[in-house]
Amino acid sequence: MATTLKSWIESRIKEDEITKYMENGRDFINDEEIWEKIEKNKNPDPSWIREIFQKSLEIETLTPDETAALINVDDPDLIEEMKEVALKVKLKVYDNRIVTFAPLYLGNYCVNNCLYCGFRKDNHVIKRKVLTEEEIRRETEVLAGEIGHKRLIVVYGEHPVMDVEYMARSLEIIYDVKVPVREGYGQIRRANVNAPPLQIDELKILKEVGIGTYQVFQETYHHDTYNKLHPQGTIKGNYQWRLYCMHRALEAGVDDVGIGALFGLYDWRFEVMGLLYHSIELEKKFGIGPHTISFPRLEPAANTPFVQETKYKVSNQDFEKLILVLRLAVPYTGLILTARESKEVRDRVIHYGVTQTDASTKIGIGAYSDRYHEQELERQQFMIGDQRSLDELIRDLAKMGYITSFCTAGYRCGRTGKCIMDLLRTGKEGRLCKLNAILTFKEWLLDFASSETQEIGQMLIKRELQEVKQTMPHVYPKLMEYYRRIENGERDLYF
Amino acid sequence: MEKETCTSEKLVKFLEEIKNRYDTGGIWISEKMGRRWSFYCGIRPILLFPPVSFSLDERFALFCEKPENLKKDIEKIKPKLKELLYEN
Repeated sequence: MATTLKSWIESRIKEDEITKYMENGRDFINDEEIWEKIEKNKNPDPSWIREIFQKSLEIETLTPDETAALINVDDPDLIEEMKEVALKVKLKVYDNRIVTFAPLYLGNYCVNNCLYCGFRKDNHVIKRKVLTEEEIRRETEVLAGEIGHKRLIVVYGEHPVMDVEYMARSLEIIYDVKVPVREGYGQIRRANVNAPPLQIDELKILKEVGIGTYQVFQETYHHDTYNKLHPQGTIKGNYQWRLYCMHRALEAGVDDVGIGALFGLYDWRFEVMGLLYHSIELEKKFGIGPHTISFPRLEPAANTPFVQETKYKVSNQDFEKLILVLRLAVPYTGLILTARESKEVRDRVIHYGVTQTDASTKIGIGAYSDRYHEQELERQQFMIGDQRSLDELIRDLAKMGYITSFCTAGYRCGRTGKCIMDLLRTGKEGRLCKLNAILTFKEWLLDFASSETQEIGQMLIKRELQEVKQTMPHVYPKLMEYYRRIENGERDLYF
Repeated sequence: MEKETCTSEKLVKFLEEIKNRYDTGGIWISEKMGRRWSFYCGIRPILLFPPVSFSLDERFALFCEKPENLKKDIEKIKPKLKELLYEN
């Protein structure tokens, strides 16, 4: 096994699948330039900031200077304005819907040794496990048949026991599960993937089995920090192999890619700029920016002292600001807020332009079907902060005026990739979001909701239907036809 | 550098002709990927009506927003569409 593991590790990185994307032998993250821009744009003129707000409202990606200026806004009144603009941008692009999903960890084996990660290979307190096909099926049955999720983010470690064949097979199993529920059936309609950087041929395999968004976080965009935290000689020690994995994914034909940084490894301002440069690079090279941006904060992990020692911990105040800046800097992208954060934090920042969040979250390997409720650090990568059930979260969102959407319509007809990017930028996707949110929310209320959530949800639907009648009268009759058909037991109807 | 999808101008032009002749609204071709569909090429949704699909073969399908006028001629159009698809 030792020789096999060694040769597997050595075969992973294909230099030509890095260098082909580089310009003059350099990658697109210039550390000095980023700091120069942050320094140069200190104390920005409020009138310029308001011009930048207008640009965001026109759903245009901001420049690095504009983004650096937003990072440097300290005036409380201007920050309040930023909050209003962020919500307006979100409503224009995605309407008032929030998409929900659940993470599904399939294993915690890893060949890397990242200093901040509970799953690092030298962390011997972790109980290692990789799910079998039957266990994957059982986890999916709980997620789709009992909780009512339609979307997953399936999480894989970097290890030969979770190679691309395992990934492809597990996605097939997940898509195959169909569970009878109260009135309809439960099924995962979109399986997004959080995986290590893959080779182009491997990404083509995942594309063939119907991968949703391919998500890889750079962790930190700062070169020196990256090199310190990811030991050389490991696969993850190669900054550029990771940085260019979205280039490979798009070249392989994967429709949607998700980027992110782990906030707390380095200065949050630099990471926001890194995410912006990454978005601009993808737009420039492929005409498609990131489908989503994630901004998880570092959380405690078993036997991982780095987390307590880091000097870059992000305060709640800075966390709020970084979400606002990301919302305005890349206005078309989805923003994912996870259950790492506490209920209090999530309830506050959800209004800053967040589009997706998770609920009923368990990150222990096999934790959904094991039905244990306590968090066990030896089984999971980090601690989660919000353990609300999907029913509770949906009810809370409805009270705030947000409709939970289980829409996967884009994948039913091919409104994906560049097509959806254009629809997002023009505001058309937001209108489709509203229609499909109503239909999928109705499905969920019928099939899974508690009576309390049904009551609150139904009031929200009534308001939404009225809004469609007024703002999109040409589609209202069709919407009502579909709505009645769902009440009569049909499922998966969409615009 | 291009994302690996269709770049055939002839195919897009033909879809535009179909759109104008049959008043289809948005009309596009998607490629089947496992259980889902992926945008291949065409004219994006305009009317926001529910898309209706016409299977072209095991790999591709044509989607449009207003299929009423197109339905009667779709079988005649399919061979030309497939020819252009695989020429790409």
